[in-house]
Amino acid sequence: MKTVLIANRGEIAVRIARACHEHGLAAVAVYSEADRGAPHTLAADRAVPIGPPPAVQSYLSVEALLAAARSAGADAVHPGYGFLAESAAFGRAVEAAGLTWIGPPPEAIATMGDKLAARATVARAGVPLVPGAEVGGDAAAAARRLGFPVLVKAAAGGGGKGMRTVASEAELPDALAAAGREAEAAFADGRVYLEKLLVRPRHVEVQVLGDRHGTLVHLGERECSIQRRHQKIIEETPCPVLTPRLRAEMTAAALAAARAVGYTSAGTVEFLLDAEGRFYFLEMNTRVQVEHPITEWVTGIDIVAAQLRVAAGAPLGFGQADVRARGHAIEARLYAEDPAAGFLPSAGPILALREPAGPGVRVDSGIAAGGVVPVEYDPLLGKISAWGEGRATAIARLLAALRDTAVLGPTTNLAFLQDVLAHPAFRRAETHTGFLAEHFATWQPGGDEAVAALAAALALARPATSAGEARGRAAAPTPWETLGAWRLGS
Amino acid sequence: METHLRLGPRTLTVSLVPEGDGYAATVDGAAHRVARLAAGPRTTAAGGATVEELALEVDGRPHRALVARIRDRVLVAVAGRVWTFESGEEARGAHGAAGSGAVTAPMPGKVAAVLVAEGDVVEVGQALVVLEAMKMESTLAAEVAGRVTSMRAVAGASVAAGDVLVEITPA
Repeated sequence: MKTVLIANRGEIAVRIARACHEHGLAAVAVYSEADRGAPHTLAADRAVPIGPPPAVQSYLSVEALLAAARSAGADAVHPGYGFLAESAAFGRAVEAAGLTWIGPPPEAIATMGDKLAARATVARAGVPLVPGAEVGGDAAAAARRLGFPVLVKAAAGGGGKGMRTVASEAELPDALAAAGREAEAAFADGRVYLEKLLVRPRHVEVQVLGDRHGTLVHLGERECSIQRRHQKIIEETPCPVLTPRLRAEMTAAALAAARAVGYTSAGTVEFLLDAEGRFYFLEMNTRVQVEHPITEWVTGIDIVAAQLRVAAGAPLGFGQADVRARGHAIEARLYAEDPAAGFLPSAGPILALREPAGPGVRVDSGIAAGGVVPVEYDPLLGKISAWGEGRATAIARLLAALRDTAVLGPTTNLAFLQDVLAHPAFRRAETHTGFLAEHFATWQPGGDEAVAALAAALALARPATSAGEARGRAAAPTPWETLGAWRLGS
Repeated sequence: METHLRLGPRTLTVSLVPEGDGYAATVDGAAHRVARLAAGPRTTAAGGATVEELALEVDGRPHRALVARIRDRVLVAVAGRVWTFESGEEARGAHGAAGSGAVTAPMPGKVAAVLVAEGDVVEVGQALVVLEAMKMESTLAAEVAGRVTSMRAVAGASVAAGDVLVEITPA
């Protein structure tokens, strides 16, 4: 394994390119026409165009990706998360092309990717399940048996797509139709099923890592209860309410679920945890997780590097006893979206950008000033995470880092993230998956409007662009424009 | 110097009068003592925007601002928050009355579903069109009650930001 094609974009593609370079591997980026000159293409040794902006014709095109791998001489493929990361068909196609698939066995992806098959498989391994039902025949009767509220979920789902909460029987037909449409669009598989909606559960997941020599370990848990549209925006580790006994039970269940499908590489077993300390299997994400940095913070284990080692056939190099967590880490996901308008995604040019730094602060960014947030893809701009000896320090560091961050251009959730972290109920760790709906349904961006207005007035009052600046503008294009032209000609 | 900055439905009036090494300022009548501590170079960004960093002191407290200006818009980031002001002449007059009968696509996307038809009577907040953009579905709702006089959204069709999808004649 010498050259890795990264079949993804944005911050995770940058992250993977870094890991490749740290381990002496060459990295090949791919990009659609919407991503020409994007940061992930600059992080790699080479960037290959794969097609027009729509993902189905670029980042979701197995044919285009394999052609790019061939043309760049890549001998391995890392899928990242999203796009084709949980496509068993893509994993098989990569292997059939004689390339190394940097991920779990495609059979494990297929089993865990079909939520119905996954539930059956892990139940046989003794892992507790959320009560659920298939939709075949009379969906209303099935929902009544479970008892409202229920959740409609895509069988091929993940990332909150194709998911709807249904409070009463009257809402069921519309929810089934909408979830089915979204699932069909996102996964080309419109099958949905029902799950009992638990009251105020926490989302707690366990990171697992396995090699091809029989070693399978867990790297502890992450609590990811702060969600909007069923997608996480703030994650932390450890989960503030897990007792050692419960942690032992949940991690054992996660390992049993992973073992049941012969899992290798990095994966995450997701559970819901109720107020009584009962936990239920939700699903297994058979890929590197968006929120993997917080586990790296506390364990010191580089999860992407471990994926590369395992794919190359090497042993993990450590066992369960070697895994020790220290301190507390929290991640905030920076999205181009408007939390005051139903989290409506935002897009467009990034006029200016300031990223934070400081003790215990990590930035995983996929954007640059002068770049554009395309409308075609997920609006995740990057992730900012912080580590502290304790939870309060981690929160304080993350808040300071977010305060130092600035994105001018698309609307982002930056202020929202700060207000969530500063909320008394969050500080008390009273979190559940309905936290945002409960506390932030009517959120408006506050802040010191007078200071902002004065800054605007000062900028407007500053003398008009000087002759020197005007000349500079005409003669010297921004580095970004230069790079764009250079990439065009390369 | 007096500046008018429109912020959503409101217009803020800011005045700056040089005094000592700073300014005696007012924002909508409230007095502040302001000083410009430092200013970075003004650079040109995408679309002809100009961007600059400012360090300012307001009533004795230091702040770091990142300011981008593009046409009449002034975007200001301070302390992890962003404000989008509109300057220029039109900031003086109130425009863009809330609750328009024309429902436009807030961003480019695809129409996933059309939930009402021409002639339907709709309530404020009633779902009209489901738009799929950036892989997520968003529901566009009526801002005014009235009758749907034009439905231009077609399921499956692509739309551009600003396209009028539905017109409602207020009841």
